[in-house]
Amino acid sequence: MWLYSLIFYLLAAVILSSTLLAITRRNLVHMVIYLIISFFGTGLLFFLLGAPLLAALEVIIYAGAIMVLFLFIIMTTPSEGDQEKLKGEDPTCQSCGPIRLLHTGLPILLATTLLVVAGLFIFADPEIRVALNPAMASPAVFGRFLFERYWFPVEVASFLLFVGLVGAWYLGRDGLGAGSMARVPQSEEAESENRGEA
Amino acid sequence: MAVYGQVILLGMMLFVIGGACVLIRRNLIMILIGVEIMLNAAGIVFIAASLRWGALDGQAFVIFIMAVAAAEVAVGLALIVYCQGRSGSINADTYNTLKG
Amino acid sequence: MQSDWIVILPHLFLAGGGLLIFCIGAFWKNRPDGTLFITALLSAGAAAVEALAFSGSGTPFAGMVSGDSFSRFFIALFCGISVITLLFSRRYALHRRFSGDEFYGLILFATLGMALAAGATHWAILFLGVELLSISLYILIAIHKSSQAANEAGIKYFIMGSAASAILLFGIAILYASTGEMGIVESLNAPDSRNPLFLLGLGMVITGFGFKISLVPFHLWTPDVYQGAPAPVAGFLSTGSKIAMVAALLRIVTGASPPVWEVIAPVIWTLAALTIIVGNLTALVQDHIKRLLAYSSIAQMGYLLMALLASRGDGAGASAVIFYSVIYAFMDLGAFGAVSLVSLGEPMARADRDSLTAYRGLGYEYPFAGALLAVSLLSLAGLPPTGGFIGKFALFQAAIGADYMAIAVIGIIGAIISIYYYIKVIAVLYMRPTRVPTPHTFPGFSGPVACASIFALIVLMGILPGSLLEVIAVILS
Repeated sequence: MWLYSLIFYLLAAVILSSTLLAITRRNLVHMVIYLIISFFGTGLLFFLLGAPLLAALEVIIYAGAIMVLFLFIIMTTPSEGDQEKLKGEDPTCQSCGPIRLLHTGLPILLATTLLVVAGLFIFADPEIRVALNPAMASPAVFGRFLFERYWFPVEVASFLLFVGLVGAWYLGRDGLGAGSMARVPQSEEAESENRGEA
Repeated sequence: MAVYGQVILLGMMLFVIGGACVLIRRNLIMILIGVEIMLNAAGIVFIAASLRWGALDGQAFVIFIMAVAAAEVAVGLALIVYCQGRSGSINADTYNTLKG
Repeated sequence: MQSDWIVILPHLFLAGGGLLIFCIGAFWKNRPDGTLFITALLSAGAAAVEALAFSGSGTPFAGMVSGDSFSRFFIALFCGISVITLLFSRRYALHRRFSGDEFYGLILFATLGMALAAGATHWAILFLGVELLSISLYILIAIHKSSQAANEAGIKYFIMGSAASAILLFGIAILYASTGEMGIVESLNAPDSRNPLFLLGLGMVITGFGFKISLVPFHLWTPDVYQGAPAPVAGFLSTGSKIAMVAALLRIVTGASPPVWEVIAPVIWTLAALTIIVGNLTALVQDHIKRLLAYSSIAQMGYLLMALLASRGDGAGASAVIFYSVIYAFMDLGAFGAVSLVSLGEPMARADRDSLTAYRGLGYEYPFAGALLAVSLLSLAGLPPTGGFIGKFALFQAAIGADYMAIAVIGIIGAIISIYYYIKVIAVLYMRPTRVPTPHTFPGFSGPVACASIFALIVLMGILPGSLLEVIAVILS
């Protein structure tokens, strides 16, 4: 049992520290790499908590697909990451110390307070101190459960992915417009309608 | 094995880190990353709860979280790239022309 | 098993219609004019008729969606909202060149999301429905690609919406962690309602809802997004998505066990009071019509929330909430629809006619759209003989009847304040114009049809509200 605990604490430390490092990076590529480490750690945690299929999916979808998408966008857009100013941080203003403190310090303070309160809330509950017993849901059992009990949400999720696809295609389609009507791609219906009216 | 509350607390900490990222960072890509971290944190809580209650419902929900995260990232990144192409900036502070 | 499928038949019509539109858009290149528009109208109409005509029962598919008359009524309402939105946006979309298959298909998918969110009995369906709605709306808001403002509004709504979804999701996760139940009502009937973890989850769920309904203090995104979004989409956003969340909240409020309700009630009370006060006071100083409508819609949500407090027990509150939701949907759609009609002829076809000074004497220039805007605003102000008067009366009566005196007084004061800024707009509309007006008429049939139907509905519900109230009584029984 102590081995399980040890692995859990190690994983938790890795996940937390790499996520913290990720969100404080100014170089976005470094951020992606730290976040991939964090998602790998989460995948291992899922395995530890008895969800091998989800562990694989976490690595494939989060650390794989989503992060590669981010990396792709970061590489293709001209980066201004190194010049990014945090909220309220203005280099031309010398006397903005208090304002800067307010803008970055306040969210951090709020976050810490929230975390402490949440921690108190969580550990005020005696039920919460139960130890988790290791168990494992095999992918076959889980898959059967998913498609017997949850096939309807699975269908809805497929529509969600379809809408995501349509949106990405529509917004990413050629011709960013740049304010000129002529370069905006016209839908065929609009064209035919305009011809009909003319 | 770890205590249930500790896993929930880990999820909570990740959620707060993600929320802080949304609040503090001004880069739109970083804001989107913050949301991803928050969604992932919810996944950890669901899986721990699934083990705690001995039911697979929590694990099933994580599948949907992954679908939602993927769709949201696809639309969000497309929106960011599209705005960046128009205004040349991915800093959230440049999007402030709508005022009363 | 047969009845299971009848329950989701409206959903299937909406989903199938959306897919059909994308197929037509992709494969039928030389189609007649308006094929997509007609297809979208027919699918939404068919879904509405199906929802009203056939009765399913129970909660099919292992307790995922509810087939009760409550959810079927709301599905019909959402289909009506999307039909009116489609009618108003027909010319608008053609003029601004975004009337491709994406626009019509996404309207139908957003309607599907609303139907799922309002009818969900399981947290997974609620969350997925809300997400389907939100992701469709992110695209719909930014759909006018040559408009800088729409672009910015899309980004803002995306950031706020996705953060709100994450908060809602984490709340659901915590609720599941503390109760072990995935059903909405089951998880809210926890044996130990003072369990701190449970309270934390409940608070986060309500925060997520607050962002989506744009309650004060989670409302800051609303005016910017409404101002930037194309006017018909803003109308769709302010009616459909908010009413879907209110319907889901109504299910939570009526389903919670008494000890849990004791915890929720003060929170809702505070949110309602803040929303009414801040919404109305901020609306007073607006000089852009879409921002004014945004703050007005925030205040209207406060009134609905106030009656939500009274919706446990004898059902007077629930009936008032449903009745006012219907009226609110039509009068707000009417106001945004009128804005979209008068913005049709804007030069460059970019922004909408927005500044209040641009509305001076508009009632003479556009007689029909001006009248529609005036009637919608009168109804939003709650003046007789419009439907808004009856609706507000029912809301306040319900709140007073359930002994929520203080909040009812706040609401009444807010409503009186609100009359000022609605009348201000109407006065501007019928002020002497600076130049001699040339009355405009609208090409096509869709705009006038939408105008006439909203006009008729608002007046009809003001004069003869009885039949709708009877229908609602049947739903709630």
